[in-house]
Amino acid sequence: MSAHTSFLAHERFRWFKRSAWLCLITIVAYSAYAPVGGRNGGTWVGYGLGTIGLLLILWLSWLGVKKRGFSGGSHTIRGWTSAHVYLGLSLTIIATLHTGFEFGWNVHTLAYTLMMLVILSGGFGVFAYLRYPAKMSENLIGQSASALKKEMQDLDIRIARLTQRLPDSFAEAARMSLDQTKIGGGFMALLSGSSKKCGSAKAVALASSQAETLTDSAQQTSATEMVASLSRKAEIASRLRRDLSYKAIMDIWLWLHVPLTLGLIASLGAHVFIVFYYW
Amino acid sequence: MRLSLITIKRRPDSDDVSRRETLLEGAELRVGRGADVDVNLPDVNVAYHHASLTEGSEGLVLTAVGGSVIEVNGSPVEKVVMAAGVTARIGMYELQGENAPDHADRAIALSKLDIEDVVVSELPQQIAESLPSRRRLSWLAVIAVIALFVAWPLFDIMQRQAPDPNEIIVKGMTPQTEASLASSQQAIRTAEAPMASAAGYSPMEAAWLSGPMSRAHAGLAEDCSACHVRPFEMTTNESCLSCHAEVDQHGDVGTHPILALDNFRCAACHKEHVGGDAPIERASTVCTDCHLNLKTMSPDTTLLNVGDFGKEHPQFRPTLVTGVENIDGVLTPLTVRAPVDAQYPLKEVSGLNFPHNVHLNEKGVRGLGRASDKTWDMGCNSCHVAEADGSLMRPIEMERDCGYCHELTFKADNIDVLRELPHAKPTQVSEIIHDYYSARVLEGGVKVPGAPEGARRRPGTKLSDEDRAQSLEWASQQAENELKGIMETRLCGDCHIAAADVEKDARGRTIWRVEGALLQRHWMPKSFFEHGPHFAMDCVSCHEATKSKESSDVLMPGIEICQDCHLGEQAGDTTASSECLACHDFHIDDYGPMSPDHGAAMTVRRSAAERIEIKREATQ
Repeated sequence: MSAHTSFLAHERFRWFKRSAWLCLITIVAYSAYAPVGGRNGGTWVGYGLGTIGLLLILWLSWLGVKKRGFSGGSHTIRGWTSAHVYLGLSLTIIATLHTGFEFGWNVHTLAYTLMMLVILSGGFGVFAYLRYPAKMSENLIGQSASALKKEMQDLDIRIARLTQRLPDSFAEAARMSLDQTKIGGGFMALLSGSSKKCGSAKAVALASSQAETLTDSAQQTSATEMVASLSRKAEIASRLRRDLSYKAIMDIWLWLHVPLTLGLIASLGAHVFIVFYYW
Repeated sequence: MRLSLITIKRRPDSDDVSRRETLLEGAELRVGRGADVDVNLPDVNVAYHHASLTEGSEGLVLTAVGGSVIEVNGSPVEKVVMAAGVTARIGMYELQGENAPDHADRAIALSKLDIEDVVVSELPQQIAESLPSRRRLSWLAVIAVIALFVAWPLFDIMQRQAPDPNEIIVKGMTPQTEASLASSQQAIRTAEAPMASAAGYSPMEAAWLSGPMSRAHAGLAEDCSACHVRPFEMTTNESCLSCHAEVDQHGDVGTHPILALDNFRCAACHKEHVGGDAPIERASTVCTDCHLNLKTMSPDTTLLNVGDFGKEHPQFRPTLVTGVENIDGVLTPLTVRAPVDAQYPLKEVSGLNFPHNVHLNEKGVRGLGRASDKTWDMGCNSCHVAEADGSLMRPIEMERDCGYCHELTFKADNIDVLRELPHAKPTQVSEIIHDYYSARVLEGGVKVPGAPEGARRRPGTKLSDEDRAQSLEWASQQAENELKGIMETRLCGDCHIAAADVEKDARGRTIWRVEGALLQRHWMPKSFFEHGPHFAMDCVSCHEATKSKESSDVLMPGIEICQDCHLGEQAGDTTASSECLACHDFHIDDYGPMSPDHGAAMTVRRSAAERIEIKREATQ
């Protein structure tokens, strides 16, 4: 298997197959057993499905913790991720059968809802990890973000130097570029990756319009060079912002996935406690 | 003016400082970003020509040009005298006045601020820097769930009085009367809002309910401990029986101990928290689990195996009356169960002579007695009317259901007086007839041909002993003749079999025996049938009465008739209900209460309640 195999296809979909079998077995058990009072979590099959679901949730949570700790071997991480994703998805079936399709405004349905939200956010994580790494390398055109940042710094020096031969209006453009070319920032700025307010982009417009008024040919050459430098800087800034936005998207779901998982484990504990408290 | 410009450079990561001196000459020295100014400050924040250095009266003066900004001690100024020690800042550069060396008029030091000196604010590069930590959010979620959904309700529960776990509580359930039963059934039918309950639970306790309570138990919905007596213990049968003390056994526990269901929980069949009218499982599997192969459960049972009504239910076996036996002075009908069979129609002994076909004649029925004025169009409901509860037909009563046509009146040949005769009392009838004739001859004036002298004499005249004996003898003879007609043909004999005893009574009168009717009231007593819901059907579609000539015909339909509509559970919900409970009860009357202890406790409680009621009535 090549190193480019997605974690979804790990070991020829080993975990997909295992999860599919698990789902199939639970569906058969659910369908075959028609107890008095109807199918729900309080029957023997219901208890069985609930136990499987509970153990899966605990194991998957532990996997989530463990996964971060693996230091070496992409193979191992890929395997665990594959297991985490497919077994997590199988919970949608196992837990739904455990409910017997009985829902209400209660702590039991709360646990189910939290679980579904965890799976949904995890699903988004899978989507993000499948979609954005490729987009990221495409966006940075094979360069690293730090190399682009270095280039931006070089451009800043160059722009500053060019302003020494140009009127103050160009210094204004250079200052605009220097002060207002923000990369990163608050939550929304990071997530949107928008370059609408980019100082360098505005500086390009300003410098271009000023360049037309110049008459001295030496200054014209400097102005042209400055506009080119500002344009390049604006482009790099835009790419760096987009890079951060992709990273933000690849991170954001964890702010739902992790706290909701802990909430889920707590509500599962409550669910089990209550069910047997009032057996 | 000669100016000594000392450019100070600090080497990175070292305290070494290099000072390079440049001598500038001119009346006005220009300071700015421009490549062609005297003091070049390559910084975009510096104007092309930012400021000028000139010789003033107080010394070297630095003057801002064209609105540029010079900072001294952090505040903007337009002009500053660069005495020794005075520092002015332009962009990233600092100019500091120094004492002039010998070879210059003035001296000034120029240095570029280090990166650290300029406040560079690096913007956050990760959302983690602007969001609360996931660890904190996780703890928040855990604490919120535990506090809201566990601690709060649990605290409320602990606050309440815990019931004594060893006490068998017989709850104050009022004995059911006809009225209370009707009203509770009405409440179930109308699906109104749940009954109010005394004990209320806190809002978060409601979140513990795994599903809605049935309407029958709606009143208990907020009193969890009514059923869940002890934490972490399944609901016990004691809890159920504390209200349902008189629920009957499933069968005769004496002969079939297994039916005591000792190892079964009530809740095994009665599942609560799934809504509905009552926690009663209607699916037939509850019954067929055992009844599909009953011999394995109880080898000596006489009951037949039963499965789905559509295919695996045995033919109906009505209980037929075959006669009467005198058991210890009590007349007891003899019965037998026999399956309905189209080829061998069932017969039973009713003691009655009643042809259904005559009464249901399409052309009408000729009236009798007071009804003889016309031809009557009779239907089933002319005699048979369903009970008020819509289940069985009310029992036939001769006077009410037959008596309008079949009048029991006696009218002698030559008198107009009608005499009513009682039904089912042949001895009284005999007395009445004999009394009538005796009275007539003793009165005199009888004009019947063949009557003796005494009877024919003028009323009011004296009767000799001889004539009297002769007349009474004649009257008795007349009465016996009349009675024979009444008993054998005209009145009783119309419907019953009447026979004269061989022996006569002490007065020499014939003793008439009229066979009473043995009408079966409930041919299938192990099930219940409701005529009410079948109102849209013709009676004759199940009971073939129009063709029945004999009263011995058993007009109970076979199972095939029912199966036309009741196709069985496996046929789906679209057909008429076919589950066992549609026709059979699980808890069967007359087998005694499931729990004798509870039954006894309930009886004690009830009699106490009744005593209280009596006392209350007495004091009022």
